Amino acid sequence: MFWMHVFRFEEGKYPNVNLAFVPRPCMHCDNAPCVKVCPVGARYKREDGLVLTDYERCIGCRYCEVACPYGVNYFNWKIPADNYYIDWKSEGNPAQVIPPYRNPDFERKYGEEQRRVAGGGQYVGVVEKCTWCVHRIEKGLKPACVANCPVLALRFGDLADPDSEVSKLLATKPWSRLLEERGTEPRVYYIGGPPFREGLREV
Amino acid sequence: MDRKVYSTEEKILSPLIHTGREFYFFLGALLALLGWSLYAWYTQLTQGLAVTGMRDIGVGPPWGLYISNFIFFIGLAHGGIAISAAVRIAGLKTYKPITRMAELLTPISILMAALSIVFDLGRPDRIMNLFLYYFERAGQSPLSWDLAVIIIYFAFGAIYLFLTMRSDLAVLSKRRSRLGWLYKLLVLGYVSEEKEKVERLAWWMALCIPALLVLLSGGVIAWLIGLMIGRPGWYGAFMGPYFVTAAVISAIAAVIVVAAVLRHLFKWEDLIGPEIFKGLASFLATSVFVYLYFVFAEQITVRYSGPSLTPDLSVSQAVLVGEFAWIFWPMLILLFIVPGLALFIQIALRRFSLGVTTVAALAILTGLWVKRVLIVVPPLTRSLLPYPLGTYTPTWVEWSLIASCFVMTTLLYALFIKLFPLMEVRRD
Repeated sequence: MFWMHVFRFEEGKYPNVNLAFVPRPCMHCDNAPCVKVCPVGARYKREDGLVLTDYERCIGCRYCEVACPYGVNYFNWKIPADNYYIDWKSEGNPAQVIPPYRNPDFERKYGEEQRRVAGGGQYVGVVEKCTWCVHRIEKGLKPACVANCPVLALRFGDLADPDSEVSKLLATKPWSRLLEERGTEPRVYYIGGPPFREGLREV
Repeated sequence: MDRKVYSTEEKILSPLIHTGREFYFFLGALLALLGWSLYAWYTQLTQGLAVTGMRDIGVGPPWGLYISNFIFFIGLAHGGIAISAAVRIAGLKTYKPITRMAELLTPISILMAALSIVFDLGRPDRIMNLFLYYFERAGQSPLSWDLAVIIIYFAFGAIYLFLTMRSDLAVLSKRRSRLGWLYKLLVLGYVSEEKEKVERLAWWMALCIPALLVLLSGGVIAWLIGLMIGRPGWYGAFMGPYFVTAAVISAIAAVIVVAAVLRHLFKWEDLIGPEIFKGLASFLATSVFVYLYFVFAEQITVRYSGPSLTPDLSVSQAVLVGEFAWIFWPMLILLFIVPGLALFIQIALRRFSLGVTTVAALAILTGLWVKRVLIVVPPLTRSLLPYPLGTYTPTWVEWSLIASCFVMTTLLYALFIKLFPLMEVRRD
């Protein structure tokens, strides 16, 4: 699963070229189009701001995917077992030795609502997306992308708390949000200039 | 040639009384096709929607032929209603002979539309969730609104069909036949005086149903995509009038095709006069050009504004000169302009030909199916963010399941024809 898409760009003319990257996690919008269109309430917004998918309620109509301007939703087109990198069923591969990977954190229920929202790929025919690692946040950890970024390009924190690292960053530096004019109120802020500036060429 | 003179009643009831060997061959062929579609559905259910050509944003469209087919069949459902409203409210008695065969289109098409949604779901086993969480979601989700209006529409269509058929069922229940028990069951509590009341009731229903038509095709179906701020080429108030026009045109075209085929099949030339087709054909010719104007209006609005609407413009480009152009232009010319002109010319020259009318209606019907695909798919291959362009090639599973909807429509028509009279039974 690659729920965070990273746009890769280059700009300038050889030999003066520059590379730029724009990561795109789920924006966890305050006015989320996906939450509005879901006909069964599988996609919902939590009190703490997370926008999550209840894998046990989703009927797989993909309306959220159609509605989202950022394209963050991914549908489980295949049976999960057919979707692994290794074909667990065929002979002569590590599948004989290693059982299919299971993460108990993904099978738990989370939040006040007690719904199955963590991880993904457990069920065929449902929509999944970046959860901001709800299973890590609830343990007090940072999302995996933030924790593992070697150059600290990604920050995570509580915007409601004015003393948090992210609040201070936003107070001191210029920032922008993706497709703000669509009124979705995204919760992901891009620090610095606009992420998709003129002159960028996609790689 | 059979030169025996039949009474009107015998003529109307002939499909119920005489069933030739051809009918069973036809039935067998339909069932065989249905069997193939069942295999396709089995493949999809066991392997997931990966067997379709649909993919995630940036790879392909998340919605494809199934949703286009859904919109198409919802449009067809309006045929019966439009004709009944014309007969009962506007008093256009000419169209009386085709009311029932048109009304039958309503419940059948709605069933096929519902089936298209089931085909599209990743988890059809959880479809009851739509009802379980209905009241939680009805305030926000356009899909919930669709569900409500479609159910109301189906109920209205089926009740309307049944009520206006009661007196004929009473006639049938008095005849000796193997299915006597069925007719007796259906006319339970029938008294001959009810006809007057049923007529009155049908009048009021015919008055309500056009409002439902606007609410369904001009409303919730159009809002399903017209309210999506996240998709280029969809958002806007234009979708309502655009959709309701397409719906009515496809419905009238379908009524022409159905009536012409049945008239030919059962030799009802004297019961269904050419004036019926003339009227429908002039309506069809006019409305096709109204629709063409809509297509033009949609394109010029996007193209004139230029860079401020770049993603919308890219959808327009995809359709007019891009990868969908090979579908768009032949569709526009062969399935809209040529049949529209053919209908116009034959009206203008006062040389009416039923053959030309039927072929033109069939072409327009096909055109509107294709147009629905071109409304649904291109905006899903383009994004507001710089993702790669999506591509879409429907697979055999999708084509088989789409075909099954048309096969089932034919099958349900055939069964209805063998069980119930398609016209009001009368003697003269």
